[in-house]
Amino acid sequence: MKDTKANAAAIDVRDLYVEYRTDDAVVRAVNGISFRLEKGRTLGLVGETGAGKTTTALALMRLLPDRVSHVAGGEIYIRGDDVMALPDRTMNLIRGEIISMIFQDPMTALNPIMTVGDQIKESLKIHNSEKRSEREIDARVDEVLELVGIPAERKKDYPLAFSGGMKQRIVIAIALACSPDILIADEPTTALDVTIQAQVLALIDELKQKLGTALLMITHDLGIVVKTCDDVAVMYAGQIVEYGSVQQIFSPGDHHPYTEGLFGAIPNVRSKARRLTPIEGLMPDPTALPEGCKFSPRCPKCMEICRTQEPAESERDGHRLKCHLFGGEAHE
Amino acid sequence: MSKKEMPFKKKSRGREIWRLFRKNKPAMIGLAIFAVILLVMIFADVIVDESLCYSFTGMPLEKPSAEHLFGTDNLGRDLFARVIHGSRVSIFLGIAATVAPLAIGAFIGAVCGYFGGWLDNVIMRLFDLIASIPGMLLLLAMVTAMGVGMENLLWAMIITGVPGYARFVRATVINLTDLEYIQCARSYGTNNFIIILRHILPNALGPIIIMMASSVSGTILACAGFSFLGFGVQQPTAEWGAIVSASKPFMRQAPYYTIIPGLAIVVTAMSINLMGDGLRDALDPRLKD
Amino acid sequence: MLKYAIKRFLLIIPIILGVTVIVFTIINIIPGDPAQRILGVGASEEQIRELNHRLGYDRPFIERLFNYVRDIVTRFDFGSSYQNGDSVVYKIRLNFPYTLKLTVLQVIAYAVIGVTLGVLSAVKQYSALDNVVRVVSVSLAAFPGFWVYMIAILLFSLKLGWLPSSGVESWKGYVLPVACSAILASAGLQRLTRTTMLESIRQDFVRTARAKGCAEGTVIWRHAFLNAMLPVLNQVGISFGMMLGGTVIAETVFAMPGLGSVIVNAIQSKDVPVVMGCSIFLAVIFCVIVVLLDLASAAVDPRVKAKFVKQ
Repeated sequence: MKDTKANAAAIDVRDLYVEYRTDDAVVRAVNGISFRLEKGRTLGLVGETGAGKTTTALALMRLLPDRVSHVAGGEIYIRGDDVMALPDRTMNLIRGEIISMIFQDPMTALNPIMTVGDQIKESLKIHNSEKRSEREIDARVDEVLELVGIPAERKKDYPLAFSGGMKQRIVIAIALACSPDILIADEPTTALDVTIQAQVLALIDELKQKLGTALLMITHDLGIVVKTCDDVAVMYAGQIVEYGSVQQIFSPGDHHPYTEGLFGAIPNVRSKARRLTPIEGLMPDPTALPEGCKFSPRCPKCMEICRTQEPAESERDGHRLKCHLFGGEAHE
Repeated sequence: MSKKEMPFKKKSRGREIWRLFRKNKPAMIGLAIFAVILLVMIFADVIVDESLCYSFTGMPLEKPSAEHLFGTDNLGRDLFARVIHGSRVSIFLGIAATVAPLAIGAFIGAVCGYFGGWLDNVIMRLFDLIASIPGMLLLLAMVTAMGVGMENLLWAMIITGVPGYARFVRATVINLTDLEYIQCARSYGTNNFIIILRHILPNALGPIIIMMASSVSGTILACAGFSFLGFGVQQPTAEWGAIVSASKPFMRQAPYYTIIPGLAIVVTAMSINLMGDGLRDALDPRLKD
Repeated sequence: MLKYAIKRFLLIIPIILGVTVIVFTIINIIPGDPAQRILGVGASEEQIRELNHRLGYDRPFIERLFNYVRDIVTRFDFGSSYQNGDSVVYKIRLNFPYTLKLTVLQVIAYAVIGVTLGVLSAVKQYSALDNVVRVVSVSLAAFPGFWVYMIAILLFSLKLGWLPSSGVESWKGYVLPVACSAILASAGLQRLTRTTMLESIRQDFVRTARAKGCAEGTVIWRHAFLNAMLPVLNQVGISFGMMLGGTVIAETVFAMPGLGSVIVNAIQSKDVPVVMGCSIFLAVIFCVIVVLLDLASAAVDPRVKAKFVKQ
């Protein structure tokens, strides 16, 4: 048991489906995604808003709002443990200690009526397997705060006394308090302005180096992906349409039309030749996904088959594509 | 906008509200029960002669029978007649004690909210003060000053009710006054009272109706409570609270004497509450939980 | 914080003064002859004039108001009863403890029932429990307190003989009035708690707490509930004041010797100073409770505190 765990991937997701239910519709947010994240590596999960990135992350943490959403199929393993099968108590021990998450919106992610010190301390107290004394826990709170660049004496302040960037650092401090093996960062910089974005990213990177944490970086910012990730999964309408190493994704060659579209949507300072080419149309309505390839209505290279048949996944050297353009023979 | 369009528009909004209301089963049940109660109120004289309320037609504390459907009270008066005719007093009091202070409060609140200024300040500080006295105590003080009786109770309910309603309507009106089309009408130099009557009050009507619907049953209970204490409707007038009060010494021998008039209050209040909730959901679906 | 608390308590003085003036005005400004009312129709004009003079009713309203307030402030003297000359303060000292005890017990029971059911209802939204609680709480709003008290007496005292129907000799006398009024009142609190909890539970920081590994109970109570508590606390405090006045009916039905019974008797015997003194006393208590509530809110919620400190 120990051995398999030691060899197991940090995160292993197999054919995951997640649905949201409203009064009169079923929203298919995640539609059969699979990926692995090895220890100490960083995987970028990119895609537009509404592609199912955050939903995937919440499913990993088993934090989907259970009244309206549920995992409709597939398996999730965290260090070899089947997340769906774990009892609640064990899951509580895993959350925060083994896997933790930096949330998207720092303005609302902190409890407004608890001091930031207490919010960090709470996590340390739950996961106190080393039987640290109260004093040692306090010392650790100071240490974590200093780690994210906030003076320890500010631990007695409430969240309302901090700016947005500072709050994001505190959210990170909470996530890191117990030195988790796996960290999910859900758009950790979207709510911040550019200068602070860079600081926060540098901070996350530094921590990753120091602690050897596996990182799942959720973002729609390709610049961040290049800077921080080893591998990239491009998500569209709840599916991974392209997966590969950063080199594979960012070098010319075979790419999913959606990835090409995404790249086109980012103004590139270095190559003046590329024009800004926004992707036509909007994300499909998740309550009524199109037949065949989900991207077909917006795809500039759409073929007859794309509208009727869902493309199979093809793979070469770990570079996975889900597109009819690269079916069987084209990728041999 | 031509004059012909207006009634049509209003009608269609009313129809939409009615459509939403009709879909709400508890509200429809409430409406049906309340309709029956209203019919009983209106045709009380047809159902049973009012003189029976005050004549001693039976022995004291007779059990319910074919002759006296609800039995008789401690003086031998027919309880059925007293409960049926009591509906008039109890429900009239409840509705009057809600509508009158609401109308006065709405007027004061609308004027204060629209014009603001020192008068608004003075009136609102005064109302704040009145609101900082528990309502029950204020009512008791009024009754002390004016003496007991139904008319005085109504006056006391009006005076204690106005501040709360005025503050509520004032807040609603202030929100409306900030809206652009009102500012626009003001900038044209439209007469202020026309703005209030044409634009503000009709738009504030939804919240006011919701407020009224949710207050009526509470007011009925409060008036009955006051009559129960002996400060409202006086004997021998038939009123539900007063009947329950009179039954107190005879609870052991004649439990129906206590139970029946109380049930009348409960059924009435509940039907109004169900309707009120339905009305609220239909007028402002956002408030629905 | 201490500075704020002191400031807040000083601000209460004009309110108390205002409340006193309002109650005094309401009771005294109505035209009519107090002595006439006390002595009844049979009294001679001479007697009426004499009594009016003795009670000070021949002096102008403003002077009487001033004297009344002055007596309260300088001597804590609320006047004395027309009937037997007992001072109102004596009556308050004698009878208020029963009212206070009744109210405090009511508020505790009310808060516990309302908050617990509201939280459970919100946590298990649309469950069988939630539906039952919602139906019951909507229905309860239609039950008049005095009638429920009497039905409770009918059932538990007269039929079953478990509890006394009146009196305060033992704790048993408090069970029925406390239980009935707490259950009736808790319906509103339950609805309020449910609504604010439903909002609170969906907040991001609740998810953060779960992500930390907090157990479900901690998530619900420490994170979601404490954040939803402000309006609930406020409601409980206001209900405290309302119940102080509202014990009148419970005290009448259960024949309890509280301040409510004193007021009712005084109204029946037209004993104006007693009604006035007791009402003002209770209204002042209510004002003090409101201030304590504000302070409690500031202590619980740093956002409220920040607003105050700025001012």
